Amino acid sequence: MNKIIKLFIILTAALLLAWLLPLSYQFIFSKPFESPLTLYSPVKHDFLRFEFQKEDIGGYDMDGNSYTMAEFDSLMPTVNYFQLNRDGRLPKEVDGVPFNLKKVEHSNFAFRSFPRNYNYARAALYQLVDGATIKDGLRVPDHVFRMTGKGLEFILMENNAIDKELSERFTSALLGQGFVFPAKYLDYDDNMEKKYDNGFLMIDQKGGLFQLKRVGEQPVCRHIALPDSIHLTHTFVTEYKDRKLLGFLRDEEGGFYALETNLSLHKLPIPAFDPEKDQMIISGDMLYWNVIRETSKYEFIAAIDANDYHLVKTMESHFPTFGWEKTRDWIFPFRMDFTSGTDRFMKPRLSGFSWEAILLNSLLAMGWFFLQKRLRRHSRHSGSSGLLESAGILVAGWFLFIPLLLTIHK
Amino acid sequence: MNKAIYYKEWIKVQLYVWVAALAWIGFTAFVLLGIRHDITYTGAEFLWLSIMDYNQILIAALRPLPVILAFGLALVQFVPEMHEKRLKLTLHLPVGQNKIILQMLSSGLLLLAVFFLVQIGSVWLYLRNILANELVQLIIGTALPWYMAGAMVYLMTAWIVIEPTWSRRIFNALLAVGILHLLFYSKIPCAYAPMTWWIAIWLVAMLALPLYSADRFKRGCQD
Repeated sequence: MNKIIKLFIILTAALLLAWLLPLSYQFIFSKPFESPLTLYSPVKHDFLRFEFQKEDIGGYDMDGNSYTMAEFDSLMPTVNYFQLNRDGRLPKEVDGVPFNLKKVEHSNFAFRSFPRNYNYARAALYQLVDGATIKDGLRVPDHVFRMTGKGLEFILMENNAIDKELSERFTSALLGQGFVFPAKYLDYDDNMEKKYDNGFLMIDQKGGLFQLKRVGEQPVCRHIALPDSIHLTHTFVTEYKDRKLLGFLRDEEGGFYALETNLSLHKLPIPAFDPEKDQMIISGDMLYWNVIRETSKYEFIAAIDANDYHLVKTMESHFPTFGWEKTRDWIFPFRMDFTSGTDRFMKPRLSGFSWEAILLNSLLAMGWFFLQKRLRRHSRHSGSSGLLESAGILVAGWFLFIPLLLTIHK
Repeated sequence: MNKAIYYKEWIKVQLYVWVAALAWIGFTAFVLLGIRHDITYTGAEFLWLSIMDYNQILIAALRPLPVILAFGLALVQFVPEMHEKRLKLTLHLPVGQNKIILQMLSSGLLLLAVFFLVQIGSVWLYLRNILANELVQLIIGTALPWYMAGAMVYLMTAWIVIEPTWSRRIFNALLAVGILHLLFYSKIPCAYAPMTWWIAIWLVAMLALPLYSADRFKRGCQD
């Protein structure tokens, strides 16, 4: 019984060390790294890298040529229009398109999708803003609703009471459009500040797409017809200044679509996307969209024409592996993490398996074996031969060696 | 014999329990009154939105309390046992050694359970009137690991106090701090949901730790 309890203590200590030692190592030795901002230039028709550290350099092209701040502003007019306007250097046209400052300002947008925003525990309550109450850009909802198998159930937040009338009205409106409850997926723009409201984009049980808005106490909803071949899994509502887009859609094969306010659907020419696993940022303007997919190891950027959505150019760059990361692989055979960049949960995850650490583990295992041998020679007790423990140290290295050493029976 | 052991434990902890109960009720009432104050001054809507949009857990002030209560209870219960090694007398009673230690632990765990249930019950009863079920579940689900951590701290403190050697006490204490650090690492609502069952199993397994220390104490371990 005591042996089992001691084993439990040792394994608990090993688990904590597998988490804390690599974490402490990273805390002490890691250096910050940020992938440089790279966007497609409508003037140079190639990707350019921004430079923010050096005062006299605005950025670089893909051949490594540097440009002064003034030159770089002119190469990226849809990004640095504010500075160009101040300097009186706004171009008359870019890429054959007249350069209208107001249009540029209105058409710039950023779409961000991070897996952490999907993989977390949240209350399944949704805010349907009354579009008529958006004052000075600030939304103030008075109801939230929950999705049930029979319909929407609105709750007045003031007194936590079900608003049956509102619930029936909105449920009937959706049923009238052919909606089959409950929704498989629904999304809305949860920004507190907004100029207008696009409401919800919902996928019903049969895979149909519906938009639902609220004006006063009345529902405004419509079914959005899509080709039968598209089976949606996710929707992303957008409320950008130019009002060109209703949102983005994702299908079960990872296809990503732009849905315009005129209900035209355009598939983006990018690799398959899973919002629950992949990070994606779209930095768009009136001429081009930069679709940026990034992991801890590499970055992939696709430049897409903002008007007809055809693929213009792509680039991929791999991030360097730093010295401290390489050294870490020699010290720790694996790492235990409880957090992840793709979700907000605490759960044990093993990663960073490394063969290089076998060398150090072998030395530790041999050291332990000979220590046990010496202790048995000097002790009246027979004790363990240390073979099983040495085998464990060969696999777990420091994580097992340290607790065994600290609890050694002298 | 069983009644005598439980009575002995009660004599040791009764003053602490009454004082802790006053503080416990006071803190709980303070937090719930604070929520009522916020509703009065900012409106219930902002309370709902603070949870939904900003992941605010309205009872965050209660987070450290279960651990503090459990730590104090374990000290009050087991430090007197180690004074002049009085635990040896208890272990020489004509009852199994493990049974005695488990009875001592169960009296402490039972008291903690009463405290925890009273607090979480009050929170649930109050919040369900002002918040939707989904939000109440989110809050209660976030608080659950705090109470499990409290029970773990009680068992780990007993384990450390009963341990006869200082070197092992330090090792045990470091381990306990590491476990606590893990259990309080994240403040995100329901972050520990995937691990709840594992924490529960870990907690049950920790019942064995004070038994291990007691056995080492009885054998007179010096390492």
